[in-house]
This record gives sequence, structure tokens and C-alpha cells, in this order.
Amino acid sequence: MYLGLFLAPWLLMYALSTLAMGHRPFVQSFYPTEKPKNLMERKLDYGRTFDAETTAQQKALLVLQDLGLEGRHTVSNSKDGSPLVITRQHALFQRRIVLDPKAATIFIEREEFRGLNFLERMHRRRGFQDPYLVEDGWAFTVDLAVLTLVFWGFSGIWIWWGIRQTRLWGGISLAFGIALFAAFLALI
Amino acid sequence: MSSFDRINRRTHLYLGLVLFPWVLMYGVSSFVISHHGSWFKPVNQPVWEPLFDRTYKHSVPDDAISTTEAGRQLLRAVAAGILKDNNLEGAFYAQRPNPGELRITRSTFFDQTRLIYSIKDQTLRGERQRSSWDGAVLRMHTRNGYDQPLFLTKMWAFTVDLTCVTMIVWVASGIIMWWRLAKVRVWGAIALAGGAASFLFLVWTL
Repeated sequence: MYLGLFLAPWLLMYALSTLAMGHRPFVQSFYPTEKPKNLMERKLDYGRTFDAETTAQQKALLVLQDLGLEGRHTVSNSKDGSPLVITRQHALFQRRIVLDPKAATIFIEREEFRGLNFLERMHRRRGFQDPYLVEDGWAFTVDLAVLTLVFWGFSGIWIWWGIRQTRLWGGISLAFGIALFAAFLALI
Repeated sequence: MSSFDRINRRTHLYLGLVLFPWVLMYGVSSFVISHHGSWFKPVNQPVWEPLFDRTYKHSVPDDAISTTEAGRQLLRAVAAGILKDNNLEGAFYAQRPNPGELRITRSTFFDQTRLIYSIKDQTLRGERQRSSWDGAVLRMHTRNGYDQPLFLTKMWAFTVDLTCVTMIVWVASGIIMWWRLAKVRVWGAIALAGGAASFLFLVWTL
């Protein structure tokens, strides 16, 4: 019970995001455009210079540190002084940070908030691959939620078996579910 | 126990028993996805075994390309026709990597069959890729939506929706059951508030 209450937000997020992703065209029909707009957040001068051997990934890390925006991100390959584009994958508002080394400027765009994109980002966010404690914290809660789901499955069967009055209809429900799932595995 | 409490408890229980296989599948597959590449070896290794290579003719309109929605629908209709000709109807996706070639991948949970149709040479090559167990659970996890042909694939999509709606029902009915047990109210409230606060904190700082 306590695990269920603690993990209620994760369950709701996974349920809502799966429904939204399964009915994406319908959900998207509520928005005026297919993709959310990027809104200009700020523009600033940026004088830091990089050694010739500094990789795009290393530059991105330094830029994010300077801006106080460290966290999960992707970076486009910057060549011959062309702008470096960093996508900072915030949960709520994704940001696009463009460093133009020739003009020594940075501009930061923030993606407008959309429930569908937020849910999809949270649904897909997982794993311990990033060097950020908060990402590991999220990945831990995801593991906890999915292991708890498996635990609930088996503990639910244990609880059902302990309630004598529900054995018949519970048995029918369980057998029906298993038979239906097995039919899907065999036929689709 | 009031009749409402009885209905609430029975709904919670029986839905859980019917959907037990889905709950187990989503739990295991999510764990596999989370640790894919570290604990679990990469899935869907691109090893395709040849099945056949034969001459074949099927008309493919020039505008059957997935750059527009109408073109995508046309491409799927052509691909569905080719699958039907070859007794391979079922869930699939289609690509046209170049104007002279059509690629159709027909997926079951346990394997994938790929058809490569050369429009210019009028030949059809069939290849199959067997799934590892983790690949199979991954496919179960990602199979969703009603845009695939056949009644059973739409039924699967319905069970996925039912599982999602049921998860929301479990949360609501679980909260009601907790609230009715006076002895566990304090610790339950701490767990509920702690979970909500942790979730919000993570969402805000990620």
C-alpha cells in the first residue's frame, strides 16, 4: 500500500503517456502545429575561447556549466567555426542553446510547453548513463516503479488467494487474462 | 463493508487478475529497456536469414512515398497488398528508401520478416530475423496504436489502453481503500505526499 501511494505519480505518468502516445494523431489535433514552437529566452555575449582539440562534447559541457544549465543534453557536431547547437533535455521545457563562435554570442531558445511532449519525454527518460546525480535519482525511481509493478502482480495473486469468497471469480479472471495474453502471443 | 467499498475492492482485484500478464510484461520489459546495453545485450541484432528470392510483380504508384500523409497511406496500402499476396498479413511498417525499392517489415513478437521488393527488377527477396527473449518483450512493450491491420492487432491495442486506464483506476481505488483504513492514514499520507514531492522535485530539476 505504501509503495503504491508513493509511486502513484509515476503510475499516472506512465498510464497517461502511453495513452497519449497510442493516440498521438488525436492528441496532436488539439495543437495548432505538429511541433511546439521554440521561444527566444535570452541572448548573451560569450567570450570563452576553446583549444583547437576541444571536442564538441567538451565545449557543450563547458558552455552548460557557464550558463548554470548542466544536465542531460545532446550536441550537434560543430565544424570550421559553425555554430554549436546544444539541446538541453529538461523535463519540463527543452532548451536549444546555440553558440556562434564567430559572433561570440549565445542565444537560448525554450520549447513551448506541451503536455504531450512532456509526457513522452518523461516516459522515455531512463537509465544511469548520464553523469548527473538527479538523472540517477530518476532512473532509480523508474526501476523501483517497474519492479514494484512486478511485485504487485504476484502480491495481488497472493492476496486474492487469501480471500476465500473471491477465489472462483478471481480464478476465472486470472485464467481469462492468461489465455487472452497467450492467444495474442501465438496469433499476432 | 459498504457496497461502494465492496465494488471498489472487487474492481481493483479482478482488473488486476485479468491484466496480470500485461502488468508482468510491462514490468519486465521496462526493466530490460532501462538497462539495455549494460545488463542486457543489445537486442535486434541485424542478422537476417534469407527465406526466398523470386520474381514478383506488383504495381507501386510513384506517389506512394511517406513524405505526405496521403503518400504514407498509399505506401501502406501497397505494402499490405504485397503482404497479402505472400500470406504474411499482420502488423508491419513500410519504407521506400529509393524510388526503385520498397521495404516491408512484418513483425510478430518473436520474429520479423522483411520483404525487399525491387520495383525495377521485379524481384522480391524475403528475409527473417529471429528475436531474442529480450527483443520479444521489447516488441510487446512498444506495440501500440490502432493503425495496424487485422482485428487481433486492434484488440491488442485495446488491451494496452485498458491496462493504462486500469492503472489510473488502481491509483484512484487504492487511495480510496487507504483513506478508509483509519490506522494507516498517517503513514499513507506521508508516503503519498513524499511520492508527489519527489516526483515534482525530479521533474523540476531534471
